[in-house]
Amino acid sequence: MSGLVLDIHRCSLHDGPGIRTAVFLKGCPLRCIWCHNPESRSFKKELSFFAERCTGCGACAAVCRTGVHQIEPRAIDRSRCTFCGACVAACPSEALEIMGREMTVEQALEPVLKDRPYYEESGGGLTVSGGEPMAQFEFTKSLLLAAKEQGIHTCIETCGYAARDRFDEILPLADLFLFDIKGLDDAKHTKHTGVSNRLILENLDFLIERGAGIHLRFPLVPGLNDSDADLRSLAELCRRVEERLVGAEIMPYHNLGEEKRRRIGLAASPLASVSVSERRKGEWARTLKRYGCGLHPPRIP
Amino acid sequence: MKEKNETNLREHEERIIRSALAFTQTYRECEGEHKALREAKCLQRQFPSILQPIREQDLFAGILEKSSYLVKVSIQGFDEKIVDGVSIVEGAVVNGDPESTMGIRRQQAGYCVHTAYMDYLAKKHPQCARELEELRAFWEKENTWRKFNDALPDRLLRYPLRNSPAYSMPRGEGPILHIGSCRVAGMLPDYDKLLQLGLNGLMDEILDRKNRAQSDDEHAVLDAMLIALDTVKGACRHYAAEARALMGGIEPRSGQLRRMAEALDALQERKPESLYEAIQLYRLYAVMAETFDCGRMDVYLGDFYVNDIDSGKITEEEAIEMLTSLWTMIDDYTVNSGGRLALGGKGRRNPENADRFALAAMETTRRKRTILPTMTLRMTDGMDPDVMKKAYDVIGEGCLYPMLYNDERCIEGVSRAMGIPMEDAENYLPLGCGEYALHKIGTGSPNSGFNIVKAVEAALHNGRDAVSGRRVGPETGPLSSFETFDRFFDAFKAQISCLMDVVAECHDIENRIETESCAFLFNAILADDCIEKASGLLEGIRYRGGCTEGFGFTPAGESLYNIKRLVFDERKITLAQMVKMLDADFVGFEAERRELLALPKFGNDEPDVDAMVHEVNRFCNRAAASAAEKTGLHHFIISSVNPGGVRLGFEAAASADGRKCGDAFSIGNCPMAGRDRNGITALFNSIRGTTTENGGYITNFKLSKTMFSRENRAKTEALLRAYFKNGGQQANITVVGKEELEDALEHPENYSNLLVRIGGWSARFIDLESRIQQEVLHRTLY
Repeated sequence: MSGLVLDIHRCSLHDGPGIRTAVFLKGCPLRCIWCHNPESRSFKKELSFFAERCTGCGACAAVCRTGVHQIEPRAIDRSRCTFCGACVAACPSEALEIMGREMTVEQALEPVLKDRPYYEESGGGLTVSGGEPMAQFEFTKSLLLAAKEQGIHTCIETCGYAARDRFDEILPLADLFLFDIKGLDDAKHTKHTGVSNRLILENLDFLIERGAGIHLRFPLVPGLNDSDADLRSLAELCRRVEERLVGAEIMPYHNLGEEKRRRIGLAASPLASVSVSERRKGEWARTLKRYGCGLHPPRIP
Repeated sequence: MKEKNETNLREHEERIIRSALAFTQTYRECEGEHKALREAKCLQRQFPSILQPIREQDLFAGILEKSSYLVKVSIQGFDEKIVDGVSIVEGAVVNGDPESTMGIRRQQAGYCVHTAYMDYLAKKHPQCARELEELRAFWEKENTWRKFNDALPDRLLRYPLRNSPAYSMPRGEGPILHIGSCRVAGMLPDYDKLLQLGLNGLMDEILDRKNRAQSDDEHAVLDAMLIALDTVKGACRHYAAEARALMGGIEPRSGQLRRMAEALDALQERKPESLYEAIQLYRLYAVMAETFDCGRMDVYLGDFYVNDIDSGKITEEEAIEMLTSLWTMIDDYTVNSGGRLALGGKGRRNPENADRFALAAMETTRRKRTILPTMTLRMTDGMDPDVMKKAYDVIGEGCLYPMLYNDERCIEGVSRAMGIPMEDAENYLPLGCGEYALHKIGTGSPNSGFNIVKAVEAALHNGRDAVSGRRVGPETGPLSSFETFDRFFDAFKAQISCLMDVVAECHDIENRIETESCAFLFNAILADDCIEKASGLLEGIRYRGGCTEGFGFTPAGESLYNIKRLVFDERKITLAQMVKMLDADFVGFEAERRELLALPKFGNDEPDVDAMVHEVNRFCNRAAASAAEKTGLHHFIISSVNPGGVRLGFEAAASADGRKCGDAFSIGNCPMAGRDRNGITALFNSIRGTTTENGGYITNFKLSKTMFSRENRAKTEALLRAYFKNGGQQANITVVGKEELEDALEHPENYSNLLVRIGGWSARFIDLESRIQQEVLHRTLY
């Protein structure tokens, strides 16, 4: 069993309770316009280019057999790339990188197991993230199972967009779901993410009913999903399921994904210049609180 | 005002000259007398005249400028180009004694002479020129450093040992072994005994021992000790008089000076009875003994602090005010590699009081943010959780201190490295830079630098420097003789062992020469066993050891790993091809260099390369221990501490880990800057495999400020707890933002408070030379 892994972050403090190892998988069925991990959306490998490091030496063009690289003017034809890695190895200034690496479950689990002492001391463990891990379902399932068998606490970060029977299967393998809710207004949701939120909300209800550990996360983007009505409906959702929640938090929009878009050859997003002030973050939290939603980061249930 | 200062300076200089002349006359008169008595009488000439006046803001008396002397007897004397704030030599004049075997002289022990200062004062005070010239001629032959140089047999001088000014040689060129100092640095006297007994109590103990003295030698040493203590009383009198002369101004200064004078009076008559008196006695004695590290301050000040606070004699704020003044005095007049105080750990007689003092000491550091004193926290099971919490508060604010030591692991390691029982190893304390020393029962001055990467280079060049072609180590065979990796590894080991034997023997000879000249009375009095044995420091101390500072363990291990893998396991290239690349500094071999760099590196939890680095560490420490066995030293250890990694990196050619010629080494058991890319748990997993049997390795890493934010703090504490629980020995944590460092390069004026840990010592980031700034900047920030 192998999967396409974007990256493995050890000692992540932000992907669930305690100290965690986060395994990021490639590929996501949603197309959120605010996506801060654009290199995780495609289910295929991608060639990433750090333009600021390139000295124009031509080493990449010299080794590429399919003509991906043009030096003057500098251009990259990604459609020709076979991900052989020759240009990455040849580049003297580390300006090229292939995003995505085929790994077996055992390979992905190896670094996870190495940090067991840190999980034990902090209440941490493994987090499978993405992209959307439910989209590489069999790999995710096997990885979570393998970690559970080793007695390691497991989290999955999900947008909730997957067939119900998949959640049914994953339920006993995930100690905690970090579950994104990107808005309750279906029309807006469809517009901003490319999919309806119906399946997502149904899956949330299903998981809650089945007693899953749920931590809700609200990606908030100024002007897109942070209206008073939006926040009010989020708070209502929170209140409705409060008893069953492990926690809830806001994930404020940031534009650090912009640079990454450029590196894989995507056009700039319309949100490139949007930023969220500390004051705005505080207002969001206060509004949610006013409508009855308490926020706190995830803790071990 | 300036004129007045110049007048003061001239008076001070004249006093220095007169005292040097008197000192020399006494020394000559005492020829033939017991060395301890001669030393005691010389000390009477030296003090109080080389002590500096009470400063305007200080709450305590006791300032000594380390290079403001012409001749003195001490555990360490310094040749400096700046004395009393004045530049005494123009341009790049080489200090010291050009005719000596060792080249330039930085530090010396025993009878120390500051020749450059003699020349300077001879010019400035022509009326004394002739006398100073005679003085210079006399001491050039008679100083202990010179005697040590003369005592070195030719067989030890087959390989270059000469010290040279940093960065004075062509890039990549240098010896494996530098002997930079002859000194008895890193003494950790028993200040607890000093403060519990007071001067008279110590005298009583010596007199009591004198009643049982059996020989003239014993009487001489004990009499000398009494004279030395009387000299401390004389310094008390001197400062008390000076304080009184300064009184009469406005309050609160006048009251402060009165308190100072009264304490100095009292300390001549009885033991200290308050925190204030205890600090005063400690400070004055430490200055006269020229010991830079502060030892277990929580133990020796803890009871005084608690008594004064609990009886309502002083408030917490008053205690912190005193400590703040002490911190300032230490910071202003101690070299950056010294000035370390210790808190916590096993073997304290008063843990509760000591822990209460520790909280006040850390609070003082948090507020004051001086570079010195640096602070060790020895962490033990069952320590007061408030102490640990406070430590993280202070570290999280970017104060660098305290530096954390896993007590159990360190005690075990010191016991093994020095070959001493565990209960004696409880006396371990890291010196200013981090080398292990033994409080009150050991000596072990780190007097040399050892370039581990250069030893790999020498093994690849049959004992020669790759750049200059000069011999730096023994002939260990041409490349063709290395049929297996083990054969090559043996050549590397032979380079290390050979030079380790040389350096340990040099240290032993140095100690012998020092012992012939001196008793080092102030330190002997406060060392276990010396009063009882009625002997000087080096012959009386329980464990007379030595230390060399090793640099470049990590790149050496990574180089050996790459050689093993590419040349011997995978047979991708030959050893000759590897050497060709390295000798070319990778010019024309850029792709090959990238391959070398792309192989697994230390700090990423990669078992094979980690194992090689650990093996290099293990072997070097064993080599040091076995070198000691061939000498009269009780032990010899190798540390990995201070920023010499930058300088010694400059002196090493390109290495097989992919490092370019002259590039800096990493420091301690840390990865090369920026090569650790798998997260901090991976870094910790690599590091915690380091052998505990080492001479003091420091582990520096940078954490971003957010790791100490409210939401992350508990996780960060858990992270560090797990590191220590699972074998981590040490952590020096710099909490900083990368943006801050970059901005500090642009706008140094805004960052006078930005402290960074360099290696074994700390500095203001903006004060660092740019090479070191870059090294710090490129370390991975977690």
